Amino acid sequence: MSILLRVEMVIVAILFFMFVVRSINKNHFLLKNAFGWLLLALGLVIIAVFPQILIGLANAFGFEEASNFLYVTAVMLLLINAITNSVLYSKQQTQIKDLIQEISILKSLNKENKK
Amino acid sequence: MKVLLIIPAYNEEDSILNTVNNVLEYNRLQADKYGYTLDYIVIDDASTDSTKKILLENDIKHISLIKNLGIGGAVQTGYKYALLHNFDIAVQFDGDGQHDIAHINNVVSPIIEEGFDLVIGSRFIDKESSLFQTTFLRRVGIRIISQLIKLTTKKKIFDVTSGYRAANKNVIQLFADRYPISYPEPESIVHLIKKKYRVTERPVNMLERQGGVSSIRSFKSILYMIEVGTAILVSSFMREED
Repeated sequence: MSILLRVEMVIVAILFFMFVVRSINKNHFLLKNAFGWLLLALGLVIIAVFPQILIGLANAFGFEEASNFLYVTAVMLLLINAITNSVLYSKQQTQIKDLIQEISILKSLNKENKK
Repeated sequence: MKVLLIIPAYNEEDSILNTVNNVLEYNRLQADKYGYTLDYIVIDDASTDSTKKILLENDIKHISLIKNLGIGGAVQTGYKYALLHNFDIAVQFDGDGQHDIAHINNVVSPIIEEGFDLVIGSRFIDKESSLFQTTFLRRVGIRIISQLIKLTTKKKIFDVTSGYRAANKNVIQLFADRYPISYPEPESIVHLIKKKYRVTERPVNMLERQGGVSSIRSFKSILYMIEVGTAILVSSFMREED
């Protein structure tokens, strides 16, 4: 990896890391959900500083180019992330539906009692 | 025995009063004839017309959902209400005047007398008994869904989209806990059969709707068939403990 690319990577990784930390502190992002991103940001910084790790891993998994390994990993991570989000979204949809039903029933019971 | 009529209503200002009056009228004339009391609850699915006003002005028992949930969410609210008030049987009954209250015993008595868990009111079993047979395209769609259910559960149900259904206590409990949101009828039938509940179908009369629009607005569209088909195929892999 060229020096220029490594410098770029370090800068991007650090900016990313700062964004995540800042979001958590501003309470825009729950630590529980941000944990994965925090790890990723940290990993990016480490790889940018020590690219041998990436090259070693790429070779170990049989990739010719470290960048290919990076792409495949990124796609996989995003896929997992997307599907997890879909599941979470469905779960929350159900929770919201249950809340609407519960509140509506309570409201009608309340009205009946007042009569 | 306490029987609850769950009447979902979304923008049914033209017909809801009539529907409820028919129920009350039936109750007055037939009360105690079959040995159970009939109660009702209208679920107003956050209607945007004057449905809610009509319900309030006429002192009709109802639950007004604070946000629109769609037919599945509205009906499930009724099942939750039935569970809360310890009803023995819950009957889904449309607010648009399509269902004929005079035939309610056709769906209720198989539960009491023969021990079924869910009884579906059907317009197709006995064609003479139902005046309204719906459009050709809908019948084709219903046929296909019916075949799919036969394929996945080995049980033939003719009127798979019928919203005139009676459920016993076990099914009330189950539906209160879990009920499909968008096209609930066919999918919930598969769920029940997969879980080894006893499901049957009895003839009832259905009339032309007095107002409002069907909950299956996009029935003609291919999308509806694909979605329901997928729902059935997916639930065919369901295990009893799921």
